Amino acid sequence: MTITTEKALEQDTVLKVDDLCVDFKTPDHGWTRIVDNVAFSVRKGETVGLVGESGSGKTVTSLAIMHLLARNARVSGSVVVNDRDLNSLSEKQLDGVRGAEVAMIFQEPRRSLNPAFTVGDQVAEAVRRHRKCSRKDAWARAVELFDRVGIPEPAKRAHAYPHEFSGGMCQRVMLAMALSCDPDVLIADEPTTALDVTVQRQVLGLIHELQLELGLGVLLITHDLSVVAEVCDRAAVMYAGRIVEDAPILELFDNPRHPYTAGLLHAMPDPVRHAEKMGVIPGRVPPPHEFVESCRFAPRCPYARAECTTDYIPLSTIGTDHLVRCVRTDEISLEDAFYE
Amino acid sequence: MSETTMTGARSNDPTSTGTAALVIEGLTKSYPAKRNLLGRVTETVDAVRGVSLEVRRGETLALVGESGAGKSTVGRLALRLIEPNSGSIRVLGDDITAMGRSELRKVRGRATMIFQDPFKSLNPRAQIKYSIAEPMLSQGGYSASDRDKRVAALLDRVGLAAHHLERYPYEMSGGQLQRVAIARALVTDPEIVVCDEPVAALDMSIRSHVINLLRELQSERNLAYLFISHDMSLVRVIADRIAVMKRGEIIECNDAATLFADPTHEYSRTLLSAIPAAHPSMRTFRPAPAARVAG
Repeated sequence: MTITTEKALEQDTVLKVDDLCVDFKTPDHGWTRIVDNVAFSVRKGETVGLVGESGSGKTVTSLAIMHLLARNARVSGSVVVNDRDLNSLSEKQLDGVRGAEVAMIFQEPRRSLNPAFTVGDQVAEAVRRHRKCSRKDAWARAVELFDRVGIPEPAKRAHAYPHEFSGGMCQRVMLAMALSCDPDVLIADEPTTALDVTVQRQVLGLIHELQLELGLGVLLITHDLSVVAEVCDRAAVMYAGRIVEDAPILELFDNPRHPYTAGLLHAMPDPVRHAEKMGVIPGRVPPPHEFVESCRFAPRCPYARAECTTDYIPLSTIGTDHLVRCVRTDEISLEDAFYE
Repeated sequence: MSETTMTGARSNDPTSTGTAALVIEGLTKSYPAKRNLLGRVTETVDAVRGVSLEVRRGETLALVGESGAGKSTVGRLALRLIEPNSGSIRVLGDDITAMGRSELRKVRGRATMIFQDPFKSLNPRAQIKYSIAEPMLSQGGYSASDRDKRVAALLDRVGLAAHHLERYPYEMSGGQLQRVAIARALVTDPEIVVCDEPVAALDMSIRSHVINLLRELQSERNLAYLFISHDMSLVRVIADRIAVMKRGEIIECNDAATLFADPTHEYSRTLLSAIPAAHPSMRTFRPAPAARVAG
């Protein structure tokens, strides 16, 4: 087990994001940097979580990877999928990669589907977009995919419209569409947030199964740490546009080294620790035009000192595989952080 | 085992104590599902079917279940924000099932509600100070200076500053607005508050602030909460008792600890086993890979 893990860590990188920055032109504040120097990689068969609250830049990061941002966005840095930098490709070349090599599913599956076409049509269209085949073959492939993602009576249900499906079923359709061209990377942006817990479990289980079978690398974007605990191999925590900590999953939960990560973990409901009171992080995420160069969490951090608010703080390595962006990480114990 | 189920059965009995804040019996609410050519209803669907429950003074009863189970409908029926087809509702000892408008208004000062999305539940065109004071205006009996005093005191209590009074909802964050909604719900000194997913729309780090605030207020004022939520891990922390709903019916009601330790109904078990792990070592789909040794 350890050996295979080690090996997998060294090779088979399917998605590598480096130095990714996204700026938006806003009417009030001019060019504003929303995503700042984000870097991470996803390997074959691995699930990497990108965790953060609203306003942390996690969704913008995923849209930037897919080149799905609007024109008022400026993206720099590199996004390498299977040794090709997407940022250097033309729109046309990108169309060949999006959907075929990298696929994406979103939070509200019903809104991502076209209400005017049957689900079968929509999946078949995705198939025909990337592969030369007849309509009939594309339809057959769609039905096959529906079967694979666990839609009962696939041949019949392919003729249904999205409104005839429940949220969980729509997410299965989205998954079928995402898998239609055998991608190497799946980006899942809050795939289960709008779903009930029992359905969430089914969808997470399905993603996991497909991953084992197809060797997909999955980037899971979520605000929900328990979903991360359930399925991720490692996770990067984002705060105010920057990654503040990135570690293998057990390490992250057992030994968080950034105060924000510790705060988030302490805010997860715990019947023992929270018998009286839940852990809280004071304050709120700043809006992007108030992002500073030094530590952005400092105003909310019980451990902040003068040194936290002067210079840019780089991500530094602890051990071999644990990155953290905090100058005081060696001096502080985060055991009981964030209990008033 | 038999001991715990015994306790459970007792706590499930809606007539067992005289200190109930809210007692609902046999409540049913149906909506038209089909109409014929003349517009007459030919088929109905029960959103809530024969629901009985009791919330005691000072306790938190959590109403859990998946979307569409009828949780919110029960919450609204409890204060007669919508009318039941049958069944009875007693709030703080008074039967409100057939009460007239003016009497009902009085009751709604003592039994209030907090909704999921404060952006939608607060009037976007009213300043915060008006939104908080409005229940007192509708109740009557508060002098202007009394109203100002109470608004100021509650505003401070929920952790907002005086300058927030002049603001409008769009100028505030979700967490701040939910505090406003809490202040509004408490300004007439209610004894029971129906909380309909009060933190579901809030960010993680804000969520625990609001939960802590609700718990503090509960112990200060001996409030009873009917706490509607789909979040089982949160409910586990804050509820005294839990009622599980499925398709319009309560299928199980028990002490929180007992329900989690020993759910009797199949569906409760399914619901509990679907809660995602709190720690990667407890996950089910695959083992967590060991962290690489440092150095």
